[in-house]
Amino acid sequence: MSSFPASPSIFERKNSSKSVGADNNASFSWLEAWNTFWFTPQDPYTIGLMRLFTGLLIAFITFSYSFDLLAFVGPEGFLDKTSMDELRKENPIFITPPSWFDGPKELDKSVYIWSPYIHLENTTWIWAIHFGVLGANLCMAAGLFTRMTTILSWMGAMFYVQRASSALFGMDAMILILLFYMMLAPGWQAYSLDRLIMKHFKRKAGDKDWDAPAEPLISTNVIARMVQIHFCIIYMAAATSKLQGAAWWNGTALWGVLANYEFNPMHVPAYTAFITFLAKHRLLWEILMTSGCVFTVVLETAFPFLVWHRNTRWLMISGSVLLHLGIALLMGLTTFSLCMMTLVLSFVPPETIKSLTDWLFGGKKEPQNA
Amino acid sequence: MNPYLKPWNWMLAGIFLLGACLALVQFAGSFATATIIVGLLGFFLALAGFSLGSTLLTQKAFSTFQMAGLSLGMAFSLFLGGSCFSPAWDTMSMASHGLSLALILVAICLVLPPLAKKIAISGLILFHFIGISTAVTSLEPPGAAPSYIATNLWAYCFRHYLTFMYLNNAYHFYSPEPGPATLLWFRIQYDDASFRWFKIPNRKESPITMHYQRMLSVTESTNMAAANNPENWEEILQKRNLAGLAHMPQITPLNRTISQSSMYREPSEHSKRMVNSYARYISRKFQHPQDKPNVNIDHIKIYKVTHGIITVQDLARDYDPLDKTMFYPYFLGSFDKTGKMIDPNDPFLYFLLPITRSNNPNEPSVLTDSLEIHAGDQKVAPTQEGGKK
Repeated sequence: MSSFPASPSIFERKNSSKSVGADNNASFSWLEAWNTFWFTPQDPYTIGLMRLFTGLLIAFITFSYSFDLLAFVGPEGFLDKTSMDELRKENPIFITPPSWFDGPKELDKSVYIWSPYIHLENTTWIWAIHFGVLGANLCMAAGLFTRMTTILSWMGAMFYVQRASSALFGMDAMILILLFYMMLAPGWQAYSLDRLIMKHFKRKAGDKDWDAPAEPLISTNVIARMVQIHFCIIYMAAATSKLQGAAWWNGTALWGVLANYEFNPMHVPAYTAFITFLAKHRLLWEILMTSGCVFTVVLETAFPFLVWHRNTRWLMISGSVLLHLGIALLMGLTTFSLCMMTLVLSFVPPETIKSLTDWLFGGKKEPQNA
Repeated sequence: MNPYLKPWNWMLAGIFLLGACLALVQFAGSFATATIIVGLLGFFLALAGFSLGSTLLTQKAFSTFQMAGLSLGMAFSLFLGGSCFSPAWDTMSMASHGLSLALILVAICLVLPPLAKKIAISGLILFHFIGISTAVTSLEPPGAAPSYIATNLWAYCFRHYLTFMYLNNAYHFYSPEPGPATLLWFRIQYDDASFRWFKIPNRKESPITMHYQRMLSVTESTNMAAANNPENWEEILQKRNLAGLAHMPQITPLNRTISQSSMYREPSEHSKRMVNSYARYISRKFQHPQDKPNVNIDHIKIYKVTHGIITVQDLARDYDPLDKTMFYPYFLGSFDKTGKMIDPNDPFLYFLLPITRSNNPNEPSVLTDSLEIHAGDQKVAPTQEGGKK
């Protein structure tokens, strides 16, 4: 099995190349580092598992529309056809002109949104497309006709987010990120029915290597790296924007989340009893609120830097999982948190995923790729 | 090779069917059932061919040149498919042609020599992430203008790509600070003087948590504030207070101890459009009272209600987070069935309708609910409460 390119840090790699005399040409070493970072083949297990989780998550998200489908994407829903037409054709985008003295000018009025739900008026067709998308999502999760069903799942998800634009939240952005990358990745290579079918055909054809492990691919690595960079941008943006707020500095921001009746489980008596208990014990409250704020901001700030180092990677990954577990439990944003955890999975080396799934499901040890 | 595993067979069949669909459109129109079925089938076959080719490519059973050909085939299929849509379906036509261009780019990348391919992929990666960075940085920081460079780069170079792919999020979660939730309360008034309230979101009416969270987003979409404060602020405040005093029973006047931004929240143009649309939705959903099919809607009053976050001190005193005074209603207007605002000059428009409780420890408390008074539910002046303070 090939080693995961992220295992030794990119900085260690660079240093090692210097040690063999490549330091005469700094630009060359940067190019080499770039080349190693992006274009080293990677085993498929991490991306395969991410595809599986993404498929399950998008299937659930699509299914969740079923309870009130026509209110979200129907011609007479919350956003009706008139509003949609206004939104996409009369939504001015203003831009500051190069002169210091002129005010903002209108650049454009139209937005590039697309979805059949914008145009469909026949509810039978709306339901037909909905169930078609759901079917594609389930096939994607199972890894059946993976490439095709992943592309269809991405398209399907776009149909909803572009149409039901007033009913979206952070989770929709995250699942679209996952789907975008999974659509480009060869996600069928591991944990998929496609892989089993391929093996079956090979064995039937008398291929001696029918059970050979999937080859590490450059495209797998490129996509894993893109997910990693994107995740770091998300954390960096979240952290730096939080630092604009006084409540994150004085350690009270977490209260705004924990005591927000509409967002968290304050309707559950045990939860209310817990935060009331906290409120009545100031020192405990201060310690928990401040440490929660510090943990969130420090993790989100440090993650994009420390996750690349072998020694701190697991700390960062564990911290991220812990953060999103907290968000899931305390704010009820379970699907959002699962999306974030699937994104952070991209930092877990494929050999670790393989060992873990072998241990969990008793898979046999595959011979290592050269 | 198994004929089912020959991507070109699928692709050519798809292209043929999409060509047939285009021909059918000329005779039967875009939306005849036969046209739709032939078009969809053609699209799925072409996509199957493309997908199979990309799978075989990873198995090294297919060359990059063949894959480039398949990408061009898929681009052509999408172009044909996009041309089948009638002008009314402009967004799908635009999507097909946009994806078609992306596939041509894929085909070009595939046939490049290895080094050029790496350079091209690196360029695309940089484009992608610089674009995402402009989406992150072009958002206005609190009380300041956004970066000139970021907004211009976003508007001129990356906007099309990012909005088309829905990658335009700024990821500013819970920043600068976590804020209170926005609710929407609709008071539907029927011709026969009966009325009903409809409030969203409602945990009890949402079958799953995700539905509830989506409803929270629906209400939040009405919470974008207008960019500028009203020029005649003093005048409209006075008008609102005079109207409150003239109202029977009176509606509490707003005094200057409350900040202007807390007293008056005019929504942005976008949010106003949302409110109009929601008014139409509600009028369709609750067209008639449940037991009177001949009675129609007279008007719908809409209130945006901010559910304040209980302070730690209040929770320590065992105050209820659902106490009425925790809700801050703002009047968004009265609407007719078509979603048109009935009186744009209503003196209460966008103003706070405070819900307050008298705070004298020596007297029984009196709850003054300006929302109920304004809505018309409360016809007499507030009296003493029997409950706890």
